Amino acid sequence: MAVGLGLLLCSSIAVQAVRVLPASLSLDQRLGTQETYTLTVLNDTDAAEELLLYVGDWQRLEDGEHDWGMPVNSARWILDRSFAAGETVDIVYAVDLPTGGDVTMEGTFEVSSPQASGVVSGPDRVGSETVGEAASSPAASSDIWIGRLVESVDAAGRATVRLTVQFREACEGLVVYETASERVDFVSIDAADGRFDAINRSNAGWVSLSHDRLVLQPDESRDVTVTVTVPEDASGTYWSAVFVQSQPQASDEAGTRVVSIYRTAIKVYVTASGTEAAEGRVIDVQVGETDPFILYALFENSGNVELVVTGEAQVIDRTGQVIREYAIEEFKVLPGAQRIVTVADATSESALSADIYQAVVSFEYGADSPVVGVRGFRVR
Amino acid sequence: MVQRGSRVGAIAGILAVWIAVLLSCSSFASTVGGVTITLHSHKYYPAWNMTRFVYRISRISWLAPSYWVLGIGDDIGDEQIDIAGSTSYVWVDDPLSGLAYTSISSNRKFYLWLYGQWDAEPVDMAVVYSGWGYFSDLVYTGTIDGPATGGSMLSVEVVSGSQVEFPQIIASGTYDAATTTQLEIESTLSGWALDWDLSLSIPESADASAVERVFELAVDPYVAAAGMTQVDVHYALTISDEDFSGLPEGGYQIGITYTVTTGD
Repeated sequence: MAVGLGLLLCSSIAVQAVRVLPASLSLDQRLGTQETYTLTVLNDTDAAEELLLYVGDWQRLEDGEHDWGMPVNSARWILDRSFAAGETVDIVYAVDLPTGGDVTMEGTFEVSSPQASGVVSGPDRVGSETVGEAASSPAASSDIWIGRLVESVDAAGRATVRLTVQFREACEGLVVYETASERVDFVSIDAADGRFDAINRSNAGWVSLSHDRLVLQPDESRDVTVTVTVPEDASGTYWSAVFVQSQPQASDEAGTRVVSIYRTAIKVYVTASGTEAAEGRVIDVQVGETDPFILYALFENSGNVELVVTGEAQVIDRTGQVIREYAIEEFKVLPGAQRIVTVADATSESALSADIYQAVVSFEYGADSPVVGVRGFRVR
Repeated sequence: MVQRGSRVGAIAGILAVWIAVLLSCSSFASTVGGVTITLHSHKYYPAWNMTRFVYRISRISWLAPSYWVLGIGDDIGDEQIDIAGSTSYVWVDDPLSGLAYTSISSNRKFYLWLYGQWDAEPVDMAVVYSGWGYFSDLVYTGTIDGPATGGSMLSVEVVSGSQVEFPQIIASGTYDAATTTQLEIESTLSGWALDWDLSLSIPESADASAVERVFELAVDPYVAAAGMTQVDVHYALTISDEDFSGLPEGGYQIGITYTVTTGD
């Protein structure tokens, strides 16, 4: 009977999919070595499937969600606000150049309203030879112009770059990308009150695939070789993803339609063996509300490997008595990333009485002792 | 006492190997510690996307052991097992990691239903006799065909509604798409993530931010469990008078890239 029940529950399931094995790659590899691994792609559908395969970047945001919108070797600025006609905005960043060299930089931008896109003007190489080289003057017809100026390159090979954005017309929502020809570290100096993102621990440049396209007949499977080359100067964990993506069905018809594309992202973590350093810290603890009680804590992974973190939060009164206790569910944080943790009273919980309290948040990630953040607060 | 137990175990182990050689068991049977266990059946059921392993106690030479353990790799946890359809088990780490089964008797069958497709390969097994007075547990180990681990798998497929049309938009208001998009996600691991990103192909004079503002995508609640999960996605356009002016006539294609990945 028990077996029958199990089958009954699953009897409506039909299996038609392109499968990828394994679901993720977590690799330990020595510095300066090249290894090959295998992904198997299996077409378990009734029709031939054309698939694109490529390596891309991703990051995990502070709220734990994935961000798949980062081009490889890129920095991104999101300025989600309105701009007036005639306004000028400066974005400044630094980039660590490859030893003794320069790097090709390609800049693009998108404006959401009115819809527009374009490329960044200026020298397409960032290095000591292009310091001070002015970008071409903005075209009279363009509503938005962005020029790149390499301001300096210091002795350590760090270039400082200024992007000047000129708005001829009012607009809303600007996203700027700077994409380097190879993996470099981007550092934000002035993000113009926008959001800055760069994946400085990407291994996308280390990963190459034996196939960038597959056409699989029904029931056909194919092995894809993933070659990973770890440079000599790597330290800790780096990541990217291999995407196996379906081809959308194109349509030129008028009207409004939604077209679905689906892809599997096989995360590729590569850790340089023997270089791991697990470190974390509490950046901030804030009391959002006191009735109902809401507490925010910001944890940062300051080491070079992904951390799996658990924790707890307590509210302690002046006598040292623990008034509230909360368990923090396990979460993962990539190196250099932060995670916002929220704990809150259930709405049925009685309010904290008027007094002075301490909120104590502690996180465990495998170190000898937990890291702790404390915030005092008063309930009136 | 431990020494004595080990000696008894060693003698019995040699005996078990000798019996096994004499009987020339098939590759699906294993005689360990006086018990012959057979992989009676291993079958994948495509209609349900499940794999069934059935083990049978075909012979008990001595006393019935306390329990036997089917070695299971790290890739399999409770999420991969259809517990309702499987014989009751207990996870153990000693003498090896796997599923421990009790109530051993001749011809008894043990069912293990796994979500997804699992091949069979030799895995570790153990037969354990407990509670023999002052002796420590008597443990006999061997191999038997069991679920082949070491492979995780992930897939996503749009099973219906890969292209979804909206009614003709003639004025402000709310327009539901004609159908939904149904996704099937299959994973050997729980905790997978489903994300989506929009890309627009719209008339040149249209306002992209207006399209993003009026377009609504709603995903029915789901649990990111191991096995097969169906997810329904609904689309709607809610257009105000102001937005309507920013949406000139023409072809609007809203591309949605659904990305499925593991939760690690």
